Amino acid sequence: MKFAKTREAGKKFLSHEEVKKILDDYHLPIVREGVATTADEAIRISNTIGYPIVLKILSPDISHKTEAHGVKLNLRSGREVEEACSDLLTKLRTYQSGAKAEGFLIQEMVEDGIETIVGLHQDPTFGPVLMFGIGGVWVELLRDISFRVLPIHRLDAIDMVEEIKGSHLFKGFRGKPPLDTDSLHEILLSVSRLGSDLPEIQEMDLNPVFVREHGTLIADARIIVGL
Amino acid sequence: MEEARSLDVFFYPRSVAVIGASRDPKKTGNALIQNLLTYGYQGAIYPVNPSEDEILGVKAYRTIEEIPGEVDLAIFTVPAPAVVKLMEDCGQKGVRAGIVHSSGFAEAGEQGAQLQKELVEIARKHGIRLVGPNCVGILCTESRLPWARRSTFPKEVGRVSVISQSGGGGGSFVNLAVHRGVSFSKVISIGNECDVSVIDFLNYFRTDPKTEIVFIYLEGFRDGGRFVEVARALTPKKPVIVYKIGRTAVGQRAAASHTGSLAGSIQIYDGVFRQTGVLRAEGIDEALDYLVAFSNLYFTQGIPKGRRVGIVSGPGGPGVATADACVEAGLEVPDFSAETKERLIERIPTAARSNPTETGDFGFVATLKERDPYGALVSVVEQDENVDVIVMVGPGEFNPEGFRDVVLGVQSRCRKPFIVIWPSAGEDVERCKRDLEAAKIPLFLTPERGAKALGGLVWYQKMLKRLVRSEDQ
Repeated sequence: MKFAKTREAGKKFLSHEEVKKILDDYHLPIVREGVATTADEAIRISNTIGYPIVLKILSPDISHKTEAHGVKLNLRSGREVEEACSDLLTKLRTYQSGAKAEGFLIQEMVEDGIETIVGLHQDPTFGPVLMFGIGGVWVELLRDISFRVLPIHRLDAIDMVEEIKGSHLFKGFRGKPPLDTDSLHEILLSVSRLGSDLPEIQEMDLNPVFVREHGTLIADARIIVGL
Repeated sequence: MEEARSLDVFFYPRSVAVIGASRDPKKTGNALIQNLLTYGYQGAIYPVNPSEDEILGVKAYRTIEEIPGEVDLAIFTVPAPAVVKLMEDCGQKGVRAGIVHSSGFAEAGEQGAQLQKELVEIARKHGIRLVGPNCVGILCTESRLPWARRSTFPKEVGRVSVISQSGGGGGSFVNLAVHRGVSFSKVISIGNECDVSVIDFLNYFRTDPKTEIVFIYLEGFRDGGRFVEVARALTPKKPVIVYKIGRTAVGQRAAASHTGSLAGSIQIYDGVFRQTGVLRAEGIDEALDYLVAFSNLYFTQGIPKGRRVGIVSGPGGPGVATADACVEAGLEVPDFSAETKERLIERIPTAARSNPTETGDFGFVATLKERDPYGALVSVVEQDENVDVIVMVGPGEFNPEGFRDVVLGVQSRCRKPFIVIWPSAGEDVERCKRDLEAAKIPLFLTPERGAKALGGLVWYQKMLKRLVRSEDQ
């Protein structure tokens, strides 16, 4: 039985480790990252990845990291990382007393590209559906999104990107070259395969997914399984 | 295949029993007999009523057993509990199919749902296929099988078939489309879908030789997965146009993910429709326009080979408005070739050399050497290799007969598909418009509506190439 550990614990959200394993299995490109349990370890990992970095709290008790003030962007030195680690722990306790910190996630900070969202969802009528849209903090406000039922073909992936209002953002503007939508199409196709293979997944968000001039990178992922 | 053909009996029954036939003109059971007679149904009609010998001049029977011949189709207009009792008699008699008009079943609460369950059990036991309950029946223009609770009928036999999840809405839509010159093959009011579903009839239409275009008045599918499968097999062969009601998000729930909370039903339906090559109309107007465009172009002039539009207008402003609307609908309005520009001026010295071109004098002032300057412009534009489809924009209220005759002339000789946009009104104009509609000219009221309809055709053409290709894979 898949995700047995999560089911035993009575959790709906998969752990960071479980999510990462699934993404790796489907060759989904994640930003360079590492997990630390102490601030010292976080600094070592940050030095390896290279600054600036993003620091996120890992806790089984929170799923929306931004809402829980669990994310620190654009950290530029070991000292900033150390301060951020202690601040994140304080914020976690303020957000929810008794919340348990499992550690810190240190990620390469993507400084270019367009933020998008790729998602999976079980529709009561059509079964598993794939979503693509403009991501970031405005995602629910803009609702600039497209859907397809699984499985999708490459032409569907191309259409999904083409048919949203924000599609012109990928075509290059203000003299910038067009972005690498081919790599985005690959992600959509991989998520389609993933969704077909793993019907236990009730919902999945890849958000943000940075579409860049060369390659597309996933900076955060959440997976909810049926219990 | 065999499964689908078993639904033939709903459209071409050799005999119809009306269970609940009545002498009371206010009752459905009376209207139905009347409609069978006036619409011209040719098979045997068996009114069934426990206390009548004759209804509207047709011999009536006390029970189903008493009917002397075989019964292909039983149409029920009696109250729900009686339908359940009489279905057993139908089974004994060997009735092949039933249409249940009666309401009071699953739509009416738990007790009704129980009745519906019993009804289906009895029908299945005897191998009777059921449409309804809670519907206004089935109409077929070829067999002259009429619907019941309506007084107007599409007379002309056509190639559009309709499945409607709203009895009233679907019937009214058909009548509106008839008014626009569309003709139909079959119209189904599907009701509660206790046995045969929307998707079953979609599948039937795939192999129905009389149906070439399918229209669905849709609330929602029960089995979305099967719809995807059936639609994928159907759309490469026949265009499917959908008008979806219930577009606002249903079943809102507290979703834990962004994707979950963003997944409004209409957006998912739209994704599925695009994926399967189904064209969704945004409203009734657009649905009617799509049907006018598809039914008049698809089998006569043909679907445009591409998205490049050549516009020929009388007045200047509406020509420009049409160009705008075309671009907004995803079409192209390319520059004419050098040769076309030269020929335009040669034929009509006052003509505009750009696309849209215009006659420059409203087209009907007899100062030109050309007797038909408007038609002459169309002939020149038709030959331009940059143009896939021609849009003729009608004049104002001056000389509508003249424009009507120009269009009919173009229809007889133009080898490229064309549509007509005529944004004018008035008694004479309306009369001329009816003439054009009767002649199966794809006619639209406004630039925006004409362009959108054309955009739908071009979209289907684009999808068709892909659908056929993925079918080969």
